[in-house]
Amino acid sequence: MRLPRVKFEHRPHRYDDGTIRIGGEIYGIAAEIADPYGWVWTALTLMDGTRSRDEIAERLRLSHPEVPDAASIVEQLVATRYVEDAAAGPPAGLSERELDRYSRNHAFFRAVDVAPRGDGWETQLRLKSARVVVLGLGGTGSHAAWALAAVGVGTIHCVDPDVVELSNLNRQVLFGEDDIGRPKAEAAVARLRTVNSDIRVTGERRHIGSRRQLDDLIAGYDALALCADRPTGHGIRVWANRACAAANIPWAGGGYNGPLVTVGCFAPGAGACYECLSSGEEARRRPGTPVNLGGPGVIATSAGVSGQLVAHALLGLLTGVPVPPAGTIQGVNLIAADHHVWVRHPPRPGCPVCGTRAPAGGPKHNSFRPRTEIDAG
Amino acid sequence: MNTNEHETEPVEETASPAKTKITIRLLDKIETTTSSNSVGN
Repeated sequence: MRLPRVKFEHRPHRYDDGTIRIGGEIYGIAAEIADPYGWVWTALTLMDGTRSRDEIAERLRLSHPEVPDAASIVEQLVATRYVEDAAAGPPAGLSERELDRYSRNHAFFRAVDVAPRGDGWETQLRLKSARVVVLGLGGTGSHAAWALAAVGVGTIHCVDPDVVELSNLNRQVLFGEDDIGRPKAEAAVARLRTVNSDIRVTGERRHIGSRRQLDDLIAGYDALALCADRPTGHGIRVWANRACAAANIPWAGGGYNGPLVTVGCFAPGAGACYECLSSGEEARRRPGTPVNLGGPGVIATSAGVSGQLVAHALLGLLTGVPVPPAGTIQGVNLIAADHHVWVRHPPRPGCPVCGTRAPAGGPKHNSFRPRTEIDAG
Repeated sequence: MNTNEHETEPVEETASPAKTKITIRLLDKIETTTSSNSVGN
């Protein structure tokens, strides 16, 4: 890093007792640094993008001759998420138009990235090179596909067997009245190309009726957004679980059961697979309880949250920014603000999909909020 | 050891300079507040 600069979003504040707050006030980013002698504050103040690390250390020594090792303070701060390199030029691989289009992405990723990087555009470049299949273009899939296109995923392939119906228009963001009767895949591709002409969008009207067909569909792609619920919500997720594990690609699947909206986030080699999580939840279910007590009710908000959560999970899976909660199901209950779904279970011993890493002592259920079982998609 | 304070510790005997360790403590959930400067555009 040639010219360290504290990121704009993380600019520090010094309290009266000398403690430094850095990274704002958001849990997961914000931090405090005890600084009784003012050394760190001076160093951070000097990191405005106009000085080299050596120059900052020298100025720090001049301001605080008692500092045992000024260079060490500078190096430690440079190694944090809160500092960027002001000397990093515009990234190769992104046009002026893309730099403008994705400027707010850049600010977001720069703020939430937990890894120190010289170039804050790395995340956007990873998205540009990513190839994602969106399977299902209903309530969840239409919102997910829109988000992935808007954020700049470089290649998106949209798949759905259905045509647009009037009853879809209460929630399926890619379609309008003029699209009624038109294949969803065709209408979605046309709409997404107007959202972002800097990416590649393709599609096909196709029903996925077997695991083998899903294997074929995802071949050559980097991730799957599973937004379909046929033949059954659970059945197609099992196919996705096995197909993506075999292809060694991550996937996210979302859905809703009335006001309960959830998304599962899975990556081979990182935590439990869908079948292990599902099995863990099944074991918690009261014996005799039907698997699906939900109904078809859905509105634009619940569908939107579902699709956006799927897209957000995929961003993390594709780039590591933010760090994805692989091997978990998370979600919200739109009629109970204090109900945050957070499902984790260990891999089952001998699971053919995710391995045999179950810890001794049986499964552990971890949650910081009331948990719930997997929704019905 | 108070992890919220600088620790000055010698690295190697007396020939090497002491190093100052900065401790950065991530805030806990309960310490964070609702953003007052959120934007919606």
